[in-house]
Amino acid sequence: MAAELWEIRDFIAGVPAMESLPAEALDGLPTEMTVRYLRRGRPFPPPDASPGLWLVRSGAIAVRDTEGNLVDKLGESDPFLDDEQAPPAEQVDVIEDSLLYHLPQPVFAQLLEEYPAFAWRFERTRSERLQQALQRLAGQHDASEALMAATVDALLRRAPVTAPPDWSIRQAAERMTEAQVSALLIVEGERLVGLITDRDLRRRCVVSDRSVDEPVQRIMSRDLITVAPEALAFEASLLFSRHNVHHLPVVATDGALVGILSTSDLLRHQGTHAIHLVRDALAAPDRQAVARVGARLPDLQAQLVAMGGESEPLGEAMVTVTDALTRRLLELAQDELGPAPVPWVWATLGSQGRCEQTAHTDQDHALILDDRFEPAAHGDWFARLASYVADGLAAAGLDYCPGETMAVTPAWRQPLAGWRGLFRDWIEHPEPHSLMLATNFFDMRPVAGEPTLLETLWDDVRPWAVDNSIFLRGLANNALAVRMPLGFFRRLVVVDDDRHDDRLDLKRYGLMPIVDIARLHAVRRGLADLHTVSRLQAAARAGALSTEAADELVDAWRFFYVLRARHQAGQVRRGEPLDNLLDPDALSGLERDHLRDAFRVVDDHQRWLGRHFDVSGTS
Amino acid sequence: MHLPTLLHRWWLQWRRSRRRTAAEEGTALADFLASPLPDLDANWDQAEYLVLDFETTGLDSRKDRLLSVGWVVMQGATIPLGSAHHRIINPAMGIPERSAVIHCITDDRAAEGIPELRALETVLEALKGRILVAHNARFEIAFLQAACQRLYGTGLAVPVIDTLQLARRGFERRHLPHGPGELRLDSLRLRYHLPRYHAHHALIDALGTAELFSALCQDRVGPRGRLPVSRLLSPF
Repeated sequence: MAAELWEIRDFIAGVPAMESLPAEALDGLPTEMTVRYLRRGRPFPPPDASPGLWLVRSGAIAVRDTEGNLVDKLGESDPFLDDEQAPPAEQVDVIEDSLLYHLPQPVFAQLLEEYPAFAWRFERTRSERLQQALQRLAGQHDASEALMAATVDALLRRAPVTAPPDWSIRQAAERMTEAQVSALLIVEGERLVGLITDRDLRRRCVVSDRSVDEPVQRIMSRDLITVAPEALAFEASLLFSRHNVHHLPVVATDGALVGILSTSDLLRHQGTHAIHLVRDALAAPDRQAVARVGARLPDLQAQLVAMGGESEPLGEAMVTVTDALTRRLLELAQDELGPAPVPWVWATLGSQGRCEQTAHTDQDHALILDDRFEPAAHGDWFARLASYVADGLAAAGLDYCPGETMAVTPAWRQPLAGWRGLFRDWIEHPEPHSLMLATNFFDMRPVAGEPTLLETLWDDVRPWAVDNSIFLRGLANNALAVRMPLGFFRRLVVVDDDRHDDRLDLKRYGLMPIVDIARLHAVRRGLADLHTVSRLQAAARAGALSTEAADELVDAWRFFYVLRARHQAGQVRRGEPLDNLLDPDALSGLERDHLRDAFRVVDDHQRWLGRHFDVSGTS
Repeated sequence: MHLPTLLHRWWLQWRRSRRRTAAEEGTALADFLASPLPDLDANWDQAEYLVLDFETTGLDSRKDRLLSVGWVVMQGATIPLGSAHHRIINPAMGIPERSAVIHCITDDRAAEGIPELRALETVLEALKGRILVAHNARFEIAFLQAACQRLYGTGLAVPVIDTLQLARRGFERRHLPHGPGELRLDSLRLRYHLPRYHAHHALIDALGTAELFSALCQDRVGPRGRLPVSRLLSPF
């Protein structure tokens, strides 16, 4: 190569699609390329050009489908592949004077063959690219902060201390004292059958006046929560907080007992963590103390992101803490108000209901009361309960819901019969407003109180929705309401011909459409799942959509979710208020490519829904 | 064939035959002058061009010498970068500081350059059957003629397109005011939304000129419109 073509070589090296090529491959490229200048308005690719890969050096190119809708817009550094596989009947035009570099097909084909990392960008399917994107994101964590990325077996300090189930309680207690452990694993042969802890000895033996000569199996816990040795410490910590236990037997997939993990093993390995926040929340003496715990939620998120936290564990960690805040506030309220006049269940909805929360969230909740509720006699008690909790959550950093989807609103604080009536009305008269309410309340999850109240409600409501095609069509219409952006052009998000945003709203143009799609499928199959990922997977198992489509949507959702969490973690570090608005300028070229893939996944599914439910997206 | 095309062709052929008799048999110049002329009636996007740029020790073609040569070939509207060529030329004289600050070629680098004769031979070989394109071609032609005179005792005759003159005619057709500033290579590139390049390097300027030439032609005629080469030529 004439060494003076470095200028062009360096440009090519900076093109995201080409970044995986090694220096020696890049060095040889300029002399293989041709340069074309095309005036605005010319067709592209030029009719006399051979097939191959085009790179935009400067200018802009618009790709439209047969109906003239903008499909893509290319600017500096964007590639355009012109080969047999390119979709036919696309109309491509130069919309700004453009300088283009062209790599002929044979050279391009050779690069694909020689450099698999390069070929990946052009050859892999969209789902494979998304998978890779997720792995990349997960890999972007700081190793020094990755304590929670340690596996459980690395935290175990000793061989398991065990006893057979027919030992007396006395023998077991002696064994524990001797081995200086606070928990003893009960095994039959090789098989784990139970667990006793210091607490069990106190509560089930000493306090209940049981003889220490009885066999230990009478007091052992049998329904054990176990953890796999290769599980992340991070996952174990979630099990501790979710199930409120202090010991987790470690059992390999083949059933072999490996050891026992205690909360203190974990505490040695971590700083601010969900488990601390849950403990502090549940022990908070007053609302101010609850608020102080809530104020640490953004830090928790930032820390989890820094540790490479993935979407579901991250969301669960946030929800576990928020649930604990809510439970504690409900306890404190009852301390003040006295016992409840009738049974109730406090339900949370929205992202908290679906366990997909981040630190940037509003509070959404509702109260479902026993049918013995009498407004005159009991109304005041529940009104005060609701405002106590709502105010407490607001003080803890969870803003009041602007749509007032909160238990402080009388309509969302009703006996079971009232809720039945609401759902029946929404399902039978699916107007835009009632559809919006229905989508909200279909994500209800019990947080405290009597969960059977909500289960009873679901038992009635779910079958109504499954059978109502007009309601389902309404939900489908909602899921189609937001058209996905086409991609990025320079520093802007291209929504359509007329709308270019300088920020990408990850909630509007990413998470919510997938959440709506997942809810639609769950509701039409009468599924109890709430989390978008489990809804999609369960819906695929129930045959509502193909496994491939579900997998793609799950990956796209996870990608949006982790990008948002990472974006907010950056805001936490910089001390800025949290939002969902991503600056396209802060994205790498590769991330833009991945986002474009994720947009297309949603868009394809929306089109499929449109045909399937015979609705067209209205925006 | 149009009358201007015929006239230009006759004029070129007349000069070529006169100079061929003056040039010594077997030299690169005689060889070039004997080669067939490109088709001047061809549409602009069907012809082949050699887009050329020189860096020199100064502005006076009688006293100053070539320092570097850069070119790219254009096949119609396409510029194959494989054709890119760049050589430093040994000027056999000191490089004045006022020119060195522009092209950044030092005496040491120039001393390692190829001899002027070699440089000229490769230019003449590359020019065969092609139309010469340069920005402010008057300058490139003056230095080419001077070198030919010095080395072969006579000049060359070649069809020439000057992008500076094409641009000026464009301004005039649209009655737009234009001074020397507007006609500089980098200003014109900016006008046609071409990226900013590192200036005063013979190859980069040649590539920049080639891209500008493509832009100027497309500014004048639509994708299927006719613009014969003869309408673009300058009489050098």
